[in-house]
Amino acid sequence: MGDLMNNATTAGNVALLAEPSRPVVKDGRYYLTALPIRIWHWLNALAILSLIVTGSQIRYPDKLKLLDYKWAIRVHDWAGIAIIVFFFWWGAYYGIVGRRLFHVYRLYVPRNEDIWPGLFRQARFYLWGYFAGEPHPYEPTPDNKFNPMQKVFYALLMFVVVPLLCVTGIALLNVTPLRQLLTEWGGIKLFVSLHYLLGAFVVMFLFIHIYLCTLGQTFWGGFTSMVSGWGEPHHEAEPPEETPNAP
Amino acid sequence: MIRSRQSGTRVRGPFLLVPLSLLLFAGPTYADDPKEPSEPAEPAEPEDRTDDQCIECHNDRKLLEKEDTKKQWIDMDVFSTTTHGDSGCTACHTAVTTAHPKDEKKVEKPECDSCHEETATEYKASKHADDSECKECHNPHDSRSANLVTSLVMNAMCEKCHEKPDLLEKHAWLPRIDYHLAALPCVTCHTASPEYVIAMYVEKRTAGPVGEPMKRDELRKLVPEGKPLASLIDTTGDGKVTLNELRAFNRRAARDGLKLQAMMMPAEITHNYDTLKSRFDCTFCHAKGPDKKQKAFLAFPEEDDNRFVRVPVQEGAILDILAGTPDFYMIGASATRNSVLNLLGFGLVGVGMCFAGGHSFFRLLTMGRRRKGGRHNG
Repeated sequence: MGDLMNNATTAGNVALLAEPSRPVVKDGRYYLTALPIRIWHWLNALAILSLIVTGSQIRYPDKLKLLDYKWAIRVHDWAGIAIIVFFFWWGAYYGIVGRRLFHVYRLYVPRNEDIWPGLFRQARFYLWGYFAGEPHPYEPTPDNKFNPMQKVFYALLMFVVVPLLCVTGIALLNVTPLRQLLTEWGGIKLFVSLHYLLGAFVVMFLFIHIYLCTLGQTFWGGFTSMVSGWGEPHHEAEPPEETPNAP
Repeated sequence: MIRSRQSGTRVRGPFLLVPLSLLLFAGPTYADDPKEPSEPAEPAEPEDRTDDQCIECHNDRKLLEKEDTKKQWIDMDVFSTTTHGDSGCTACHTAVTTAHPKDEKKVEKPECDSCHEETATEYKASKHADDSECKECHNPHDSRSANLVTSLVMNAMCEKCHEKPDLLEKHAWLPRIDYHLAALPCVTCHTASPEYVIAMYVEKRTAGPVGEPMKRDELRKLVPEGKPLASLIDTTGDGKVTLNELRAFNRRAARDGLKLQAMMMPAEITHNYDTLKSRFDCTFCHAKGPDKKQKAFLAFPEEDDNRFVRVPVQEGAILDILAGTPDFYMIGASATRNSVLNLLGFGLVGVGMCFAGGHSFFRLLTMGRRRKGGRHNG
C-alpha cells in the first residue's frame, strides 16, 4: 500500500478510493476528499433531509399533512438507523485509515489557535470582511481541510449533536423494553425534548452550511468539490508543488 | 344435608322417640336432662334462599379442595364489592329455593339479557357472539363497571382467547406495537365508542412498562388518616387535579419512588368489536387540534384494589410536556402543547434562516464592489 502511494499515477488512481499518503496537487488544486468520505457525506445528507421532513410531520400532525403518519414514522426510524450506520462508517474511516496516513483523523479536533483567534477571524470575515472584498483567511489543504469555524461546528456536530441524536433516537425506538431506564433518566419527555432541540440545531446548521458552501470562488464550487474530491484553485503567494502525473 | 344453625349437629327423626317413650311409660321424668335440639320443621313449600344462606355454603373454602366443587366457590370479598353483589344472589339466581341443594337438581344459569337487554342485543350482532357467551368473557361474580377497572383487567378478558404472538402479527401495521398493546385496552380501538379518555394510575417507579397500579394499602401509608387517596395529588381537596398539582406531584414522585402510568380507555363501553375507521388514522389520537381536549382522570383504589375511583384532571394538563407527567408522552399531541420548547426549536431554525437570508441580502448589495477571485473555504 505504501509503495503504491509513492507512485503519483497510481496514487492518483488509488486516491479515488482512499486517502493518499501525501498531498496530491494538480493545476493548483489539492485533492481534498477521498471517495469513501464523499459517499458518506451525500448519503448522510439524504438521510438527514428525510429525518427533518418526517420528523416535522411526526411532531406537527395537525399543522403538516405531508405524509401518512405511519409512513413518516417508519421512514424516520429507518433513516435514523442509517445515520447510525453512516456514523460508524465515518468513524471507522478516519479512525483506521486516517490514523495510518497523515493523521487525517485530527481534521475535526480544534486546536487552541482555532478557537482563538481562529473563530474570531473567521466570524469577522463572514460578517464583514467578505463584503469588503477581503480574501478568505484560510485555504484548505488535505491535512487541514476545515477553517476554524468549520472545525468547531463539525466537531460539535459529530462528537456531540449526532451521537446524542442517535442515543435519544434509539431510546425512542425502544420505549417499552427501555421503560425503566427512561423513567430513571427523567421520562420519555426528556428524551423527546432533547431529540427535538438537537434536531432543530441540525436544521439551523444546514441552513448555514449549505449557504456558506456558496461562498466559494464560484457559486457551485463548494458542491463540485464534494463530488469530485478536488478543492478550488489556491491563490497563495507560493502555490503548492504540483504532483507529477496526477490524474 | 342441612346443618342446624345453633349447634351445627346433625339431628334426625329417631331421637324423637325418647320424649315420646317417656310419655308412654309415665316414668320419672328427667326434666333437668339437656334435650337434643330439634330440627326446625321443614316448610310445606320451598321458599327462596337468602343471601346469607348462599354465602354460608358457597364461600366455604372446603369447596376448593375438590375438583367437582371448585367451580361452586364464590369469592365473597370480591363479589360483595360489585354491582351484582349489591343486587344479591337471588336477583339472578331466581330459581334457587330452600329445596337446593338437597333436591340435587342442577341450578339453571341465569339469562344475562333479562337485565342487560341492550348490551345483549348489541353483542348478538357482533363477531364474538358466534364464538363466546357472556360468561366466557365476564365472570358474573366479579363484574365491575368499566370506569372502575384498569386496562390490565380489561385486556385479561381478551387474552383468554387472543394470544400475544397472534396479536403482534395482526397489528404489524401499527408502529411501536408493543407500546400500544401495553398502554391501550383492546376495547379502546375495537369499539363503537368514538371518544377515549386517559386514565392515570399511581405506580411504583420500578413497575416496568405498564405495571400493576399500587395497592390500596401501600397508598394509604402515603396519605394521612382520614384523607382520601386522591389527596396524594389533589392537595386542595376540591375533587379536581390541576396542572400545578400534577407538576408538584411529579417533582416529589421521583424522590418518593412513584410514577404515573397512563392508559387510554374508551369513553363508553360497547359490545361492538369492529374497529372504528378513526382508529386507523394515527392523528386521531396523536394530534393537538381544537377538538382534542384529551379528557383525563387520575384513578385511585379508594375502597379496595378492585375499584378505582376517578378524579378529573384539568383539560390538556396530562399532555403538558414540561409539567404534566414525565412518562406519558404522545407524539404529535404532547409535543405541540408546550410553547417554550417550540420557541426554542423555532428560534434555532430561525437563526439559521436569518443568517442565510441576511447574508444573501448584503451579498447582493455588495456584489459590484467585491473583488473577483476572492478565496473561500466553504
